[in-house]
Amino acid sequence: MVDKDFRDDWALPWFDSSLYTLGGKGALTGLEGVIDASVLRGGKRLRPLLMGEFARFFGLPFDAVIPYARAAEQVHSATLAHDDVIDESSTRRGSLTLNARIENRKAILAGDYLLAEGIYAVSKLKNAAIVEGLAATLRELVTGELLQNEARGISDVSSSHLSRVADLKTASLFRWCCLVPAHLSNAPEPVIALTREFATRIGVAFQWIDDAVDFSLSSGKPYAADLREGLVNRVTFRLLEIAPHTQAWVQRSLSSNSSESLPWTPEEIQSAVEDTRSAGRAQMGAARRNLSDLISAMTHAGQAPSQESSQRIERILQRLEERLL
Amino acid sequence: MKMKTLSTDKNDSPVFLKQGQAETLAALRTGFIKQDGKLTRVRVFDTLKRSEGPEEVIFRKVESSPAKDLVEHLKRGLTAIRAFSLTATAVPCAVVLIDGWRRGYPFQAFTAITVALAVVLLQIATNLYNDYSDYVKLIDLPGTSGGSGVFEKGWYRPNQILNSARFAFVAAVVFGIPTLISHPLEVIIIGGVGLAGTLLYSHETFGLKYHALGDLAVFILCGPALVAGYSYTVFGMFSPGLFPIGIFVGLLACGLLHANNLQDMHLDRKQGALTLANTLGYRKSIHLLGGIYLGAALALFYAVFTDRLPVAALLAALILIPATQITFRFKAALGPDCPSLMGVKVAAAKVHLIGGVLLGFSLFVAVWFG
Repeated sequence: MVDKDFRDDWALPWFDSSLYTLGGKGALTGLEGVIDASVLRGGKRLRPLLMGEFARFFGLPFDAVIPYARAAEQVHSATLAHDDVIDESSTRRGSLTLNARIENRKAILAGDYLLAEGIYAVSKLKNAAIVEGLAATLRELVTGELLQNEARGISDVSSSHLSRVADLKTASLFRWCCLVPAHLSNAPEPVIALTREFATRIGVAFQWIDDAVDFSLSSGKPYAADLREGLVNRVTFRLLEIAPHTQAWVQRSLSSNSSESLPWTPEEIQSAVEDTRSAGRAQMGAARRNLSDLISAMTHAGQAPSQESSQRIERILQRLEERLL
Repeated sequence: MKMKTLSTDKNDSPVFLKQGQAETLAALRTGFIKQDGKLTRVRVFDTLKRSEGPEEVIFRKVESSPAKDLVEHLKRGLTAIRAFSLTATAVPCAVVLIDGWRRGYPFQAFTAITVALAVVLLQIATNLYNDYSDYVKLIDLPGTSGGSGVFEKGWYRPNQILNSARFAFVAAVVFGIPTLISHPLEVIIIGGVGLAGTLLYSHETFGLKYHALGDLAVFILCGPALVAGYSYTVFGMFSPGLFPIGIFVGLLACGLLHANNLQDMHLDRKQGALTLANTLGYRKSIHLLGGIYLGAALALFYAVFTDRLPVAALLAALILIPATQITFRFKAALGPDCPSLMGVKVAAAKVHLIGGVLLGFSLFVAVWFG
């Protein structure tokens, strides 16, 4: 399934589902089929897209990163599978979730299976730095998920907590996706540092986008789903700053999965959403400057990226930013 | 290659200014940037390392959010001065006053009140100045746990906080003048020790708080030193109860700081600040926290056992209940960043306050019941 908003021809190969599916080649053919039909189906494929374009950016052929891109998407999908069990979600991307098709216990194990497939595929390529990076990324991912889970039912989370979770849970995999091509091309340390910084910025911006979209009526997802799942996201955090008298309501709501209507006016919600989008735009602005520095650093190192690849990365940033408007 | 940027046509696009430039310093201090001929209120969002040239500061536009009523004004003010931390100075003064009074030491109420006010105002001035300074030096960025949060919320601008700090300092000096006239030597010595201690605590290069000695400094300055200084200024003497009182309140203040540093250990380590918490590590620091509170309670037992304080003073040992709860909260958390530790700093401040109130109350009550 292609993201209906992203019609650029150069991006289309990354939306071919067969790139990511397990295909029933392992021992658990039946389970792989269920996984392929649910959590590996559809999606924005942002992580493989970034990895692919950074491969071109660093002068690598498309094929050089396909196994890593596949692994990135499988790791990401595995976390989604686990999330769906925790959140008791029945649909994702318009189709039934894994846990809606098979029992929770199996869904958790299926997520672990998918994770193991991704890690095994990367380890077979025998690039120690990349394998270590993936292991570190998984550790960060799980830490972020644990910290977020610990915040379930807590209304007075701090902005530092939200930033940390965004960095660990979301930006970590973005970092790995952008750094894999850098490592494969033996980029010098300053280039790697700039790549890491760029990926962190867009990863955090992506999380703020997600938080803003949570309060969008046109997203196709349940309105204020995070709140109903017991979590304060960046928009809710800002709403509590705007209207501190609603703290008690939020605390009750987080603990009881209440279906009461929200206590904020549309103007307050709009202000909080806009503040979150503005924070996302600030991160994107910083990411652009990182990218500019990255191009300069590579040019100085005699490895100037092609204009085409730079423009495609800019195009990805634009697509992200349009979601912030 | 010049990067294209999407034209958002939004007037709240971030502004990137180079560190060290006059315009950047002005924006940091005043909270305003001049854009298109008009002043736009901004706050720091983040910093950005560039591959060439100085680091940049990212500013975001902030909407003014005036307080709706007097209550909200008050709440904001209390947040800015970090009211919960004022127990560190107010409590020792109050307890010493009650102890001296119950022993029948002569004193002048005017001196007692003005000196206590001066001490508390000095702490307010320090809190405000630290907030301003850490903001302008880009130490307390949004998304970190440092700072009172008043800049991030758009409640106050940096120069407002700086002016408030100056005002609090001047007020402290004004309240201290009568005592300076009546007890010049004591004020100069004690004031000098306090000032030197404060500077030594937070100096950029050799500050004790950056060399894992902050806990010890706070214990001494907010414990025995403060208690002895206040007692000598107000009563002209040191009572036998001073030593255990100083140990008790000093350890509670130390517990407050240690709980803070425990929660901020990763951030402090990232900023290169060496605290006792990040030196010992999470688990050992929790044991130390428990030990600090236990030590405070033992100081009371020692004081009662050696007749320095009445038996009623043991009432203050009840702080072991909330103190144990705090210690167990840290133990049960996944780590210092765990959101279940939200509010633990305030809880530690409450232990300090409750301990002081209980001790003061018990000394007060002991007068009537012998």
